[in-house]
Amino acid sequence: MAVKKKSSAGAKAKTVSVYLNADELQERRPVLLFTAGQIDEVLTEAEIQAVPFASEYLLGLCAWREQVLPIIDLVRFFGLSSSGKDVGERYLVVRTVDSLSPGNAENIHSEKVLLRCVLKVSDQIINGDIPADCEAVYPKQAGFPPIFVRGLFRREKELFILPDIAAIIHSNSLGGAE
Amino acid sequence: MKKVCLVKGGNFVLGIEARYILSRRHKMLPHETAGKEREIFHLGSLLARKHCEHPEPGSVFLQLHKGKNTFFLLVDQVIDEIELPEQTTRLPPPSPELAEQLCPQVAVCMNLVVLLLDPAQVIPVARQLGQGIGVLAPEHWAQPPVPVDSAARQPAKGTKNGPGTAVPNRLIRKNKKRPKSVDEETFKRVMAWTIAQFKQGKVGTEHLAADQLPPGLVQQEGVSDTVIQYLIDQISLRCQESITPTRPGEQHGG
Repeated sequence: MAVKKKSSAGAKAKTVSVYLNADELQERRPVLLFTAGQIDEVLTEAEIQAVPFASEYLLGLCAWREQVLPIIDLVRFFGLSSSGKDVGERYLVVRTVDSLSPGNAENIHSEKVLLRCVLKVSDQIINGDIPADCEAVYPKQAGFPPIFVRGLFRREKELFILPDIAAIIHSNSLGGAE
Repeated sequence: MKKVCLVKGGNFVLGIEARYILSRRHKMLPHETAGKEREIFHLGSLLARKHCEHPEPGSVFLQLHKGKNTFFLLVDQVIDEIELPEQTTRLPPPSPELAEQLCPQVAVCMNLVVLLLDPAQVIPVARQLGQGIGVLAPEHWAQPPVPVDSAARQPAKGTKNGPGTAVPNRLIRKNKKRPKSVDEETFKRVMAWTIAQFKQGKVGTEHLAADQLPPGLVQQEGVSDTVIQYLIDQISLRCQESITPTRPGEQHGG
């Protein structure tokens, strides 16, 4: 079932803030940042098919519009702690353009491939521009592997993470999140 | 469309194309079949990368065949048979390599994802995991050979032969263990029949087999063919000895 996106910034909203069900990091709540165009759908539930031998961050696979998509828990992927409180959760269908596929790396003129995955997140999903009073943080400083993060910003109460979805999807061939 | 069996192994549900399934068996494998198999694989423990302690009650042995391999795979449950579209896709990243090897293809059916097991990869994946992971211990799959003593104790149900009839004659005759004795009446009847047969020139197991006894001749309950066959063999042996002249210096061991 799809959930309508909340909009607090009207038609001008360009980014979507998605809170993770994770404990505070550096006394700030970890929040994922996406462009609005990256999010295809927000699902309230997903029929998850477990994948054998998978890392714990790969929750499984689900079918979305006849496509098979991996479901990834970024809290586990980034090694964040979670108090495990019973809070609302959603499944975010996000898209990205694959520019990291090993098959494409040697051929810079190859066609870009559209990739999708589903992220398990909290039910706090807010449309709105990224606040101007943010300060950039070097990923390693906050314990994030730089290869999987396009940017990291902090504000008084939030730590905004711009995940590199393509890199995360290809994390196996990139050496994993560890 | 292709027919696919949905099977459960531990926490996982996989599809196996029906054309790769030669047989299904809910009970343990008979001793003869078991003797031919070196290894039986257990899906749940293979997928969980652990040793199998106890198979789930109601587990099913699937005999799978693909390429040169024919083997048995024990699954917790056969859930359903479904039809999937021919079109499948590869297991998407970031699925691990072992999963891609074991289940290279996935399909979508009724908005559900089905991972398709490649039977040809079960043994290679188990080998890669090593340490006996995914391999079922023989006590969980092989019926022990029916000991003659225990066969003799089994009560006959409906027929004179009882459950012991399931054991092939050649297995019975190879077993030299002395069976439990029969009662006097049965002994006399079997002896009379065997001697009568012998007088007609019938010797050897093809003429003097327990299953050739006239119906109703043996009335003792709980006596199996194994016991009767042993008795027939012994009487037949004595009959043959009685007509064979003893050579000088040879002593009768009887």
